[in-house]
Amino acid sequence: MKIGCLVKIVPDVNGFQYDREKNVLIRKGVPLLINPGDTAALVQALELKQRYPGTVVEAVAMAPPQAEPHLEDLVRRGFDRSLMIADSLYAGSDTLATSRVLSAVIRLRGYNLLFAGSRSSDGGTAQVPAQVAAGVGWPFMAEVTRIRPEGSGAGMGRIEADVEANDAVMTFALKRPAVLSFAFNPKMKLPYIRQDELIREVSSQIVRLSNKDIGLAPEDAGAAGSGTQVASASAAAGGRDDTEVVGCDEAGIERVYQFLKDKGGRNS
Amino acid sequence: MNRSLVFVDGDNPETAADGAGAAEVLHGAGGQRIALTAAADISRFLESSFSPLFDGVIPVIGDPVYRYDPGRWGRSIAALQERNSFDAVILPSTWLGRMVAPSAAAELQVGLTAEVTGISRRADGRIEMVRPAYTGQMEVGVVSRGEGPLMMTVGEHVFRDSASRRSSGVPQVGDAVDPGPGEGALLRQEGAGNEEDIRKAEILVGVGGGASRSMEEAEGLAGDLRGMLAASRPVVDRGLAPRRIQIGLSGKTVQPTVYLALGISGSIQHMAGLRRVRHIIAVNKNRHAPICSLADIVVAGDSSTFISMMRDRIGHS
Repeated sequence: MKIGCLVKIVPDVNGFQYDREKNVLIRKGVPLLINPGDTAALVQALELKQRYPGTVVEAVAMAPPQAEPHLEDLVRRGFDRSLMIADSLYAGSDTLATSRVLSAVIRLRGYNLLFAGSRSSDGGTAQVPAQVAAGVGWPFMAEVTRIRPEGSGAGMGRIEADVEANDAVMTFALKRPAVLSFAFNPKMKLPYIRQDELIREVSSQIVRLSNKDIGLAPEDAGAAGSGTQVASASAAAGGRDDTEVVGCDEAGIERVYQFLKDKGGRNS
Repeated sequence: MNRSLVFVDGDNPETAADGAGAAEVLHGAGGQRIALTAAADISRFLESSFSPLFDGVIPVIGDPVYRYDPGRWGRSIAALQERNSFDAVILPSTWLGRMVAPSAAAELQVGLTAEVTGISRRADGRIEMVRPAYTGQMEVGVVSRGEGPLMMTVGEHVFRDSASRRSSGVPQVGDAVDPGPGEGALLRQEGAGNEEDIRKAEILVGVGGGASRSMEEAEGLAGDLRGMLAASRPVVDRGLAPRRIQIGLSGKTVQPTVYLALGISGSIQHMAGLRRVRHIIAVNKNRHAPICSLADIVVAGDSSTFISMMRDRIGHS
């Protein structure tokens, strides 16, 4: 089995500060990290590698050079390879243009399964995995919580996947190869990097790809190939000006109690 | 005349009204609106309160096991676009809508803007769609580029009141579409049981990161108030609350009379789920947390202390 795992290296959004005077987000000095939403997908890929000997797992990222240490770390945690895709032609890509690049790479790699996180912490559109699936012509399912390669619905080239949606747990059987994006699961953590792995040279396991290898036409890539463009950005709009502020004390509690009583919200 | 195609999520059909509303904001009352629904849902659609918001409806036929196959829906939308040249394709920001939209956008090779919470026309005539970004810390305005329909998913209740009834009152049923078999079959479904839906609650006690250590006590307070417990996305993502009680763009839009927000900062994504709330009481150590700007009352202090004192007060009433 060969599994690809899309991964996004994102700025730590918790480190952002907003300059309200200039109306800009200050991103300078904010560290990069592996998108927290991708962890479940990465962990699932490694678990399958462990369960089925001979399974090859590769991380696939469209990422700038600064992201390389994170991709090396994934190799140290058990990935056979990390694919790092970068080209100045791809600057300004929206999800459509990004998906074209990723689809082109995926078609070359011979995967049986492609995993991804459901949502990134920066753009957060949750669009790329579905668009890659359409680009490569594979079935797709989002917000997967659990997979069973050998479930009762699997076999005959299918994989079974659970999804929690609409207040229910639904189980699907998807033909393989398939794209699955995983729901965020805080209990899933990437394995620690072993001491001997920390110092191991892994650069030969980083596959660097540029547009020379992928071959997209300039009009299909980057800002030129994007279907959308960010035109403005701002912090959340202001609210009301008649908000009453009280302390968390007897008087404040009484005020809230009377408010709830007045609006019909208290236990009477 | 401008024409919009609105995808109907069969499990959340009322969100079709959000799509109709977005279409009206885009193209005015004179634009034509066509709904797209599974053939098995046609009767229910025609009998619904929102069907008069549409001029027509197109059924997609096929085995119900494929009703959640996004590729199949994407191909249907692409085929319809080829035939009809819609100016806009609008889907709800539900689990299914969020899968179908990018599939369709990729089939059509057009831009897609997700979880739109605002639409306006720029000075240059282009439509700008507003959506949250950076885990809701910011709003970004997005414009589409190139040929093809404007595509978007819209948040629940954002545009629901914007659509006017069509003069005919009854949408015309169009020719069915059959995109062939799918590749992702539903094997089985297990419901969530008898748990109540937070969307029906009159009183909600919402727990955010600042109150996440007091989940049990918060639930007790919700019970004292004869309300229900809800949670912000970070709390759900940490596994401290089930997803069915999550409020926000990727959770539920709620409409209680009173929402008691405990330790919730108020990201754009969370506040998008509060559009219909009548009164907000925010308990927060930070008086300048975004949610406080929407609140009737801000209790400046610790949520745990508030819960304890409030329960005592209720107990003594």
